[in-house]
Amino acid sequence: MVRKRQEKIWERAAGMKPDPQKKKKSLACIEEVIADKKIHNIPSPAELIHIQLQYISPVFWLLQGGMLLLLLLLLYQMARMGVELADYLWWSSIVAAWMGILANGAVGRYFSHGMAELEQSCCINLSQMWTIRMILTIGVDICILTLFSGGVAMCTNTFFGRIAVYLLVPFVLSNICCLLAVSALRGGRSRYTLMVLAVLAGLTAAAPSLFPEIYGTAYLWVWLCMLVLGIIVFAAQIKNCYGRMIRGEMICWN
Amino acid sequence: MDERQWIHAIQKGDKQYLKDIVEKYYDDIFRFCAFQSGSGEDAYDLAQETFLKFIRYVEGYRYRNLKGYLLTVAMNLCRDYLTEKGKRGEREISYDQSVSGENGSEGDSLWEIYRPHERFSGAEEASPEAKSVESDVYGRLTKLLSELPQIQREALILHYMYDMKYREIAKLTGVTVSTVKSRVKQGTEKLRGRMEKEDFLDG
Repeated sequence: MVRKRQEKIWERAAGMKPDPQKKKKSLACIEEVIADKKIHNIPSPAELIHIQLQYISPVFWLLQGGMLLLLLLLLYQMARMGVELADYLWWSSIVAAWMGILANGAVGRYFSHGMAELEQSCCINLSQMWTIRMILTIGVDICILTLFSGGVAMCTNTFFGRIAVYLLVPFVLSNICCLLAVSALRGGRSRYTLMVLAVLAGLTAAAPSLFPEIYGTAYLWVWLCMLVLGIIVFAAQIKNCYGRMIRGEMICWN
Repeated sequence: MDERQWIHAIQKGDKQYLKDIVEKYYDDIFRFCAFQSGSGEDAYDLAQETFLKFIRYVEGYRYRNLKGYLLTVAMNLCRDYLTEKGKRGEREISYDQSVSGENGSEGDSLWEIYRPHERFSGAEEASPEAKSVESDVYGRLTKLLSELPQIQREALILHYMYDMKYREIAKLTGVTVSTVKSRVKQGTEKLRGRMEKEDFLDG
């Protein structure tokens, strides 16, 4: 009974309405603010990715497609020949290193021809655009390399994770080198510098194949350490780049 | 057009829907502010500020539960208001003032704005006596609510006045469901005790 009465009081309170005159006055104030309000469209994360996808050069996608095709052809050819794991890794490590250069080269375009200053003043600032493009380009590469690792793992009866580690090491290291060139060297974003980098990274990535025993399980911990260390250095490099972008140093450099 | 589409249209630049949202939720937000702050006069300012805040940040708003979002903004504003009032050494709710307001001087409480003469809306055809009774209910409930801790008061208002589930209140207030349950339980018991003491449940 008491509970029912208490509920009844709440019901009555829920029906309370403001004084019409005061409400009208309050609404008039709010409407004034609405009239003065300028709506700035902030795209959602999905829209941001969609927008940035439109601005990535078709040449980049063509080259990425070429890399994928090359990896598939290599996989097919080597599976037919029944080669050893080291042979698979020899070629695919070179391609992985090239992919790293390609991904960072695409990101580096933001700083070419004095564009960074203009981009900094856009709706999405430079660091946001940079982040989205990094996620897109590096994400695509990691997907391709992961799929390829799966293919090699099936052909050679090796654990998939092990192959992925072997391929991600040259990929991460080439990313580090390319980001260093793109962010620290004036002219490091030029096509020629990137080509020289690609040749050097390819040669470095192919070097371990001269010593096939290095791909044995005994040395797996060395590869793992290199991968972890590489990821840490790359993350530190990215953090440093953000700092320089926020402070404006990278914009002065571009 | 549902609310999600309204928000989408606003973010694309159609400001008309902002007015629709304000009109749709004004009474709800006002009522919350009135009972939570205990001041009918300040409730207009708090409700207005709630909508102004929403309008200011509408571009970044991602639609989930609009009424819940507005109530969260109102709740935070009421918390700040009560803290500020506490710092100034004022009582949270000036029920005594409201009674004096009714007797002639200007008060700033719910009692004051719901004085029987012509101000009561939503029951335009009601007799002066009926209006007076309703005003009395609001005034007494406000006074009793003001004697409860702020966190119990807001849990009670959201649960009983807005029919919100414990889970929804927990989400809104940022505490666990069990904390909300205990706040509602303790608040209800205290309120019932005080209502019985004041013979509020007799009528």
